[in-house]
Amino acid sequence: MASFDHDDTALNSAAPPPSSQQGQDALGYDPNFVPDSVKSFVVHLYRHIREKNVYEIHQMYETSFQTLSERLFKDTPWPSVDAVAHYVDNDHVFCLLYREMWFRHLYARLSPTLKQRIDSWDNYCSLFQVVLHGVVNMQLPNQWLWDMVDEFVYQFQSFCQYRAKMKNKTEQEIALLKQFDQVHNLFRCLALELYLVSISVILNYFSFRCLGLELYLVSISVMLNYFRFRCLGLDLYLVSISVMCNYLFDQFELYLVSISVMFNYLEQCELKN
Amino acid sequence: LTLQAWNVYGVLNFLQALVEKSTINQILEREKEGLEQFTATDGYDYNGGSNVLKVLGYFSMVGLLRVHCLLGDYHTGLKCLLPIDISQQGVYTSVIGSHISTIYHYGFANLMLRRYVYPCRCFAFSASIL
Repeated sequence: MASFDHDDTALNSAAPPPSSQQGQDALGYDPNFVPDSVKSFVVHLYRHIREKNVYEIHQMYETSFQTLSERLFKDTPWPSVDAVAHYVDNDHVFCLLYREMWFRHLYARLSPTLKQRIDSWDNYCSLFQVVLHGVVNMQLPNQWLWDMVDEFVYQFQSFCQYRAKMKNKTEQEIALLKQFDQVHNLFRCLALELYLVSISVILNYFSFRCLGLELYLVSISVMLNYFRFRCLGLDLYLVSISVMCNYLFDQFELYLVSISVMFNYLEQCELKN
Repeated sequence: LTLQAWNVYGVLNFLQALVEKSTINQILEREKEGLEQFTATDGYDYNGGSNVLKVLGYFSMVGLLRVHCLLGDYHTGLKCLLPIDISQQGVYTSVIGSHISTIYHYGFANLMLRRYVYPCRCFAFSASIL
């Protein structure tokens, strides 16, 4: 687990925030310099991924990456993705994977700045969106896929802790946090959630009636009460939506009714906040 | 999306979307009926397909359990893990970190719900494998 007591040093190194990753910083780290060993690592990894050689990918991921990190990047980040992109034909997905490893290494060895945390989130968004759209045709080792999910949750947890720690933060940082932290932007979240859920509802509806009829018999009012309780309580409305959707998978009309009810509740929630 | 960097809803969204889009629940269900192989090949696809979405979806169930544990919603968390049969080996035991994390959070959530028998059984089983 990374320590969060180094926030101040992290902030200093990010003094010019827009270019913290470009240009040389105090440690003499040049993100655009690519040592030969890194070049060959990237080229080989890219080739193995293209050839779907899971065993070799696993070896490089588990062994070579750690060895190189230990030898060359003990307390600096790996070369920036822009510097290595042309060795891998600027392959979009590979660059996303590289950046994912880049951030993981950064989180493990250094203290990420706010900007880097946000960039990492953006990277996960792009990566998962590529995967969700089903355009990925590679085979990756289970270890790597697990690490992705694990790191995603870990970085979320880490961000929450970071955000809670207001000491040592400059005015500028706080302003940036406020700008990025639209927790109550309900309808944007909701739109995405409903979109994602609706795909799966349709899939489920036609292919697989997952829950038996007994759940259908659970009365609407019970569900709505459950939902209201959840809404009023912890503002975990999204959790309740997914819970409800699980209940309602095989009843399409019921699902539609519930959406309008949800909207009413969500509006109330927002008014309260 | 950038506007909601590391927003809890965004995080849950992605994990949930990965679970649903990968149709991992159905895959595991079909596997029980012998119509599909998933655990036997450790999630890999030897017919030229990709394992990325399927396995990410699979591990996202564990990710969801973990996030729900952080939020204190143990019931929902355990529900997310339901498709995985943790009384026997599976893809989740193929990666050591995943095995430990799954068992730990499963046990933790159960203990918080004051159910003491399930986690004991599953800790004992995991200890015997590890």
